Amino acid sequence: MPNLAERNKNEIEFIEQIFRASSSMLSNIPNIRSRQETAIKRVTELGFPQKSSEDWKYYDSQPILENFFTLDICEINKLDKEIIRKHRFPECSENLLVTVNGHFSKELSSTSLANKNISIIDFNDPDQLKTHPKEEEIINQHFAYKINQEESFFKACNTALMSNGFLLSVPDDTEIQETIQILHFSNESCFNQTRSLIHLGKNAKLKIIVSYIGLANSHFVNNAVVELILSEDACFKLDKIQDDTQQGILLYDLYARLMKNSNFEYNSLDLKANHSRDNIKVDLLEPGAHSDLSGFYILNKDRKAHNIIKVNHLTPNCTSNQLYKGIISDSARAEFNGEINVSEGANGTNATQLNKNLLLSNNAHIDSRPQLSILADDVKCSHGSTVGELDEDEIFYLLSRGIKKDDALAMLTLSFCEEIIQKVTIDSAKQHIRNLTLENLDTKIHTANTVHKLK
Amino acid sequence: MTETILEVKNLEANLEDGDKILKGLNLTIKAGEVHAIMGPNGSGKSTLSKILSGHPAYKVSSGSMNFLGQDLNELEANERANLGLFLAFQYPLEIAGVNNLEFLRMAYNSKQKYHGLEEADPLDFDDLVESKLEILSMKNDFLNRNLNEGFSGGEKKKNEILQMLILEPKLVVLDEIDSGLDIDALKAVANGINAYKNAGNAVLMITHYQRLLDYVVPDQVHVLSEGRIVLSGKADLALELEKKGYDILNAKLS
Repeated sequence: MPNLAERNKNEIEFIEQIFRASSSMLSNIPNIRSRQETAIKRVTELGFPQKSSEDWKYYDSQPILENFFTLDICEINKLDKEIIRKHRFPECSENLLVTVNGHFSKELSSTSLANKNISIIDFNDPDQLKTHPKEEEIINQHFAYKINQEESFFKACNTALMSNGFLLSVPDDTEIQETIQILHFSNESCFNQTRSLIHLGKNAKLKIIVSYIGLANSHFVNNAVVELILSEDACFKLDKIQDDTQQGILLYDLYARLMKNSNFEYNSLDLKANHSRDNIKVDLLEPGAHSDLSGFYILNKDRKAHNIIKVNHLTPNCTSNQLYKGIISDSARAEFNGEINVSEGANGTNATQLNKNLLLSNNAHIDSRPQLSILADDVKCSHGSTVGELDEDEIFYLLSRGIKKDDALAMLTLSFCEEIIQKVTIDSAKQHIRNLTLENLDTKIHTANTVHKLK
Repeated sequence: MTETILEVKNLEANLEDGDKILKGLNLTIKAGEVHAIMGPNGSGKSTLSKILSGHPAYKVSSGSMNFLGQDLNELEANERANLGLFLAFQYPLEIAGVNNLEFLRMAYNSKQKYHGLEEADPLDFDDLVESKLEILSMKNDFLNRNLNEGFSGGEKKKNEILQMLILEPKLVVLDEIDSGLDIDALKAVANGINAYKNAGNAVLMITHYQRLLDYVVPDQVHVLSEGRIVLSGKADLALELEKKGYDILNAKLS
C-alpha cells in the first residue's frame, strides 16, 4: 500500500498543478469563463477523490497520482491523415469529427458536416458564437450545468482546464440519417480534457459513434466529459468505443438530461485501456422519457474497468434499462456499481438492471453492486447480477462437432457478448469490436483451458 | 470381411471422483449394423454415450475403446468427431449468438481440415444443407436462427439429425433421440437415420421405447444393467421388453 503521507503529498501537488494550469486555460467567452472560475473553486473544495467515498471505494487512483502528466502544453498535435483513415468507419467517412488531445480540429473533421443542419461550435471561437445566437443560448443554459454544486472532482477539473471542446446541436424536427463518428485521439503523455455538449431540439434524431483512441506509448489520461440534453420527443443513440493503448486511462463522465418522451440509448464498449472509469448519470426529468444503457467490458492482464451508473427517475411514467456484460481474465478487475433511484411521486416507473460476468481465471475479480432505491409506491423494478464461467457442457457440445477447443472457447465468449455488440449502429464497427475482443482472448484462452480442465 | 467400427472391451468408467458407472462393458459394432441399447434408468446408457464421445467429466479406469483401429482414449472429443464419431445429444445445448448455418459450416470445415481436405465453398455448402433439410421436412429459416436457441424439443432433435447428415460420420450414437417427439417429428427423425444408413457406417441407438425401433429396425438389441450388457438379442427382444418390462431380466439371467 502507498504511504498515506506520500499519497496526500501527491494529491495536493496534483491539485496545485491544476490550479496553476487553469489560469492560462480561461475562455474568452464570458459565460464559459465564469463557469471555469467556479469549477476551479470546486476542484479545491472537493479535493482528490478518497476511497472512503462509496463511488471511489474500488478505484485505485495511484496510476493517476504517480505519473506526472503535463497539464498545460497539450497543444493540438499534428496527426497523420493516414491514422484517421485507419480509424474511421467507412459508413461515416463524410461525417467525421476529430479531436486531438482534447482539442477540436476543424481541419481534420469532415467539411460536409456543415451542410447537414447540425451546428458545431468550437468553445474556443468567440466569433463563431456571434453569428449563432441560438447556440449561444444553449451554451449559456447547459454548459457546465450547476457547476457550483458539481460533485465530480474530475468533471470539475475538465471544466477548469478544457479549452476547445465543442457544442453539437441538432435543431427541432430534424432527423440526421447518417451516423456521425467522433474520433478522440490522444497522442501525447498528457492529462487531456475532452469536452462536448450535445443538444437535441424537439423531435430531433441523431446517432453518434465515438471512439477514444490512444496513440501514445507512455501513460496518459483522457478526462472526457459529455453533457447531453434531449428535448421533448428527441431520440439519441450513442455508441462509445474505448480503443486506447495499454498505457491509456479513460475517465468518462456522461450526464444526460431527458425531457418528455425522449429516448436515449447508450452502448459502452471497453476494449483496451489500462483502465477506464465510466461515470454515467441519467436524469429522467419529464414523463415518458426512456433510457437504455448497455455495456460490455473485456479485460485481461491487470486491466480494470469501472462502471458507475446512476439512473434517476424523477418524474412519473419513465422507463429505463441497464444491461452490462463483462469478460474478465488473468488478474483483471471490474466494478459494476449501478443505481436506480426512484424519487417520491415517480409512479409508473418501470426499470430494469442486470450485470452479467464471465470470470475466466482464479485471479479475475468483479465487484458487482446493483442497487435500487425506491421512494414511490407504484413502480416495477428488477435488478440482478451473475458471475460464472464458460459452461462446460456448451464447450463439450462444440467439441463433439469437431470444433477445436480454442475456437470453441472463442465462439462461446463472443456469443456471450454478441447481445451487446449487436446494439452497435455501424456494421463495420461491430466487426472491429469482435476483432478487438478476440485479440483480448488470446492470453485468456490458455487460462480458460486450465479452468476447464476439470477439477 | 466386414469392417469393425467400434470395439469396446471390459470397459470400466466413472465420473471424476465419483462412483463406478460402467463395470466391464463389451460391445462390438460392425459396418452396416444398427444396434439398440435399452435398460433401466441409471444403468449407464447415457454415460456410455458420453464416454465414447469424450466428455471430460468421465474417466475410463480400465478396458479399451477401439474406433476404426484407433484408441479413443488417446483422442480429444473434437478429434473423435473429426474421425467420424457423432453423438446426438439427449438435451442439445442452446447457444445464443451463434448462427446455426455458420455453426454447421464450421463443424463441416473442421472435419475437412482434419482430413487435409479443402474447406467448402459457401454456396456449395448451402446447397448441401438444403438437400438435407428436405429429408427432415425442415424449413430454411432454421438456418438463420441461433443454434438451438428457442427451438422446441422436436426442432432440437431434428437439428441434431441435420448435423449428422451433413457431417456423414462413420458411427452415430443417438442418445434418446426419440424422447419428447410427436409422431410426425419421430417419423422425420427416423427418415433422417434411414437416409444416413449404409453398408459402410453404423448406428447405436440408446432408447427407452420400442416405438423408434418400428421405424429404424435394429440388427441387435442389448440390455444394459448396472454398467454391463447383460442380455443381447434380435429386434424381437425389444418387443418382449416393451410387453413385459425389465422383470424378464431376472427370469432370463437366473
